[in-house]
Amino acid sequence: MSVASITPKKSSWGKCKKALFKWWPLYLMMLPGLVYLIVYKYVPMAGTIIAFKNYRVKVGIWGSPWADPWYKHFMDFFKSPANVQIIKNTITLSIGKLLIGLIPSLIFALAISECRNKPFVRVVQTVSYLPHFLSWVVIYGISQTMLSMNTGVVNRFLVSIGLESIPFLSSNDVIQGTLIGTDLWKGLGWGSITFLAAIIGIDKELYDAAEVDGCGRFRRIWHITLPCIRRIFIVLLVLKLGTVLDAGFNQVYVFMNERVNRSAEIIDTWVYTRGIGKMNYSLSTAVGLMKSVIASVLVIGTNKLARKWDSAIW
Amino acid sequence: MKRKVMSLLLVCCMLLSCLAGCGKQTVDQPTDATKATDAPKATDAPTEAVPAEPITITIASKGLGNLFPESDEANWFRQVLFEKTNVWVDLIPIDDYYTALNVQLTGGQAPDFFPVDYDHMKEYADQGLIQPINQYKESFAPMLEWLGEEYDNFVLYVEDEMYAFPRAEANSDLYELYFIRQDVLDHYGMEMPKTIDEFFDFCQKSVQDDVTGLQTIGIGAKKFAGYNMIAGTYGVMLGNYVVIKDGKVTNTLLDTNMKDALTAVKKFQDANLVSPNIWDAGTAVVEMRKGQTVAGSAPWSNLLKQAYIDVLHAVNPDAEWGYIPAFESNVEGVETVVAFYDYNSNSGEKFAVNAETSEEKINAFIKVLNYIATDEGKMLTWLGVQGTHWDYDANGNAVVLEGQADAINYTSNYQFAGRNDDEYLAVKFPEAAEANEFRTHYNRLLKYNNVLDVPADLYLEDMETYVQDQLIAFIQGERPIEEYDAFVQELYDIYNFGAYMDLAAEQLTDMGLAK
Repeated sequence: MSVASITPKKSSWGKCKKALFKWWPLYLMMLPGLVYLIVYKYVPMAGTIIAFKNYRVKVGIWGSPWADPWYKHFMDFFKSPANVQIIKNTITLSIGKLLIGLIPSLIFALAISECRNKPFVRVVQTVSYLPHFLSWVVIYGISQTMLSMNTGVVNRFLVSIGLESIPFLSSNDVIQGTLIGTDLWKGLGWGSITFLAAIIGIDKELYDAAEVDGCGRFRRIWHITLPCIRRIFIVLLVLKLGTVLDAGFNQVYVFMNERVNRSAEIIDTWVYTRGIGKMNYSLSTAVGLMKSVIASVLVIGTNKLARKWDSAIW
Repeated sequence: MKRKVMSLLLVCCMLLSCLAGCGKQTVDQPTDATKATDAPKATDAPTEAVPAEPITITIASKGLGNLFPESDEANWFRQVLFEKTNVWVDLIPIDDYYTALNVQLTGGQAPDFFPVDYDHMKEYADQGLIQPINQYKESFAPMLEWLGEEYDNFVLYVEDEMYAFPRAEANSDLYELYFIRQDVLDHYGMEMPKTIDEFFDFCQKSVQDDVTGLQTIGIGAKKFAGYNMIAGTYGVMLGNYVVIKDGKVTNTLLDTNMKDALTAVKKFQDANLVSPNIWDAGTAVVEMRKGQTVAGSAPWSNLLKQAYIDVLHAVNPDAEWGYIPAFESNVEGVETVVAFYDYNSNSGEKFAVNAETSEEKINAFIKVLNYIATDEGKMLTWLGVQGTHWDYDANGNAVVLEGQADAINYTSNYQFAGRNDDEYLAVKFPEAAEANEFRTHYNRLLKYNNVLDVPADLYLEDMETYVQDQLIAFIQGERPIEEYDAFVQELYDIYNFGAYMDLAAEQLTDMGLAK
């Protein structure tokens, strides 16, 4: 009989108790965070039940009758004649922002990390972070000044060199590009911070060795920097896929008008006007719940896929 | 040990802050706005003059205007109203009105009284968020007598229960006026355009010559209003408007003249005579105010208040707005229409009572209503205090005293019982008297959309969004006007337009408005 078999096996609860006793100050410090999560993130989840009820404010959640059939409010969304267009708009804008948002931030971070003029880098970084702190209302004001058809700086320049004005803010053909472009402008600097942190963490000896081997700047980026930050890129991609059905309510709501509704309306703005605006909270909740389920599936699926490259989050 | 105690304390603090939000805030707990107003109540209230306990009521407002006093101390109106009624009236401005009000009602944080339109009143009554006021009818009889019995009509009722106080609501649809730059007409030696062809020539010449020197724009307006100046000559307005023709319920979208109207509108659009900023609510109006635009459609109040005339003259001292009479009709037997207005011109917003509001507060509000429905109260909400803000001139006309215009700018926020609009505007805005008389001669399109009860499963908002989008597509040339019939068919096939019109016909017939 081996020694292992006669030693009483410690239960996991026992291990847990021991760890709790040993590190109790740390667990205690974790407690507020846990309470916060439970109170503000988990308890409200019970409220999603109104997606299956005809919620009436006065009688509350429990007093409101069940929807008949239970999926009525989900169907209300799908039966809307506009749903195909708004789902298409939402996905186009999300994917556009995801791809066009991540890659330029990566390129910007690479450029910053390769620049040897430190004072210049600091100035560029500060300037690039600033738009992140502006609200979309302010950015819309700036966009009007820059992109307006008749008085915008960009269009006046285009006209002055003999080209035609572009209706950046008032054309169904262009508005999605404007939304993605302004989102990129707002988030470029801020989005590069994570990549910069990852680049700084790369062992400098790898670069020295590559230099000795005769690698130029681009080769070093290709063979050292990019492989080293691949993991963080995939992690960000997985996290961003979780919000793929959030195409940016604040931005779209500010930029929307009758002229561009067809291309700009997204699920969130539709829910806002038809759900919250009409006190149809069951519809809002049903669509929110549906979005969350889809986002969870996407995150889990992408994480599984990322495991193939050894870059999964969990 | 010391570190452990510290960490314990830190944890306790963080836990408390986490759970702070879990406390239940009762409805009666004063809001920040109410708290702020408690201070003057304690110090300023003339307790000797008014023996009864003062009461504070909160009333929602869509916007208070730029000149609303920043503090209660500076708000002379609030003080005077209190002295007269023993009621502190706190106005609560709410942006993005109905969405924010919905959220406040759901959270039990809405003001005691709030203005609502007919649609929202029905919704709130159905949800039990507002309370019926039938039992108070006798109490506000003096106010109703002052208004006139005709203001006690169906728009206040849901299934025989009265849910809103009568109010002589100013109908801003009737404020719409067609403007033209008189100085530009004089500059060219042109007569006032009588037809849309003459109007086209005027706009085109002005734009080509850049007559204002500010990158001249031909037509300015908010959204479809500019296009409707032209479409109106075909007897239609662009949009989903339910109308009654020869006793039958129909829709402007089904009008046989719609294609011709769109073609005429497109001609102006193709010639770049319409401001590209009309879809941005504020920009096109600013262009008009600074004199960049030579013609357009706008409520008189957007251009003719003294402050806006000063802006116009600061840019060009010779600039002067003239008013265009309705253009000649382009269809035989059809009269030109100028803008539109809702059935029952008094169908605007009325004050409803929060279901949580106490009887004491309702009586206080009625006291205020009855006071402002007296001659003294009326003049207070129009022009302020006699002798301080206004007085009678030698001819017996009320005139604002010099330098007091800004001080009385915000009194309209307190016109809870409404007003006789013509009388009020003549006294308060003498600079716009001519324009206000001029606009009464327009023939406007009467629409009935506001009294229809449309179920959610008809997705009316989706249909209206599609209608607007496609009308713009026709005007901009993105879709050929020849496809207009196909567009109408799409409304029937995809957007349940047939069911919507059947419902409109049924409801308007039931109301005795159509055959």
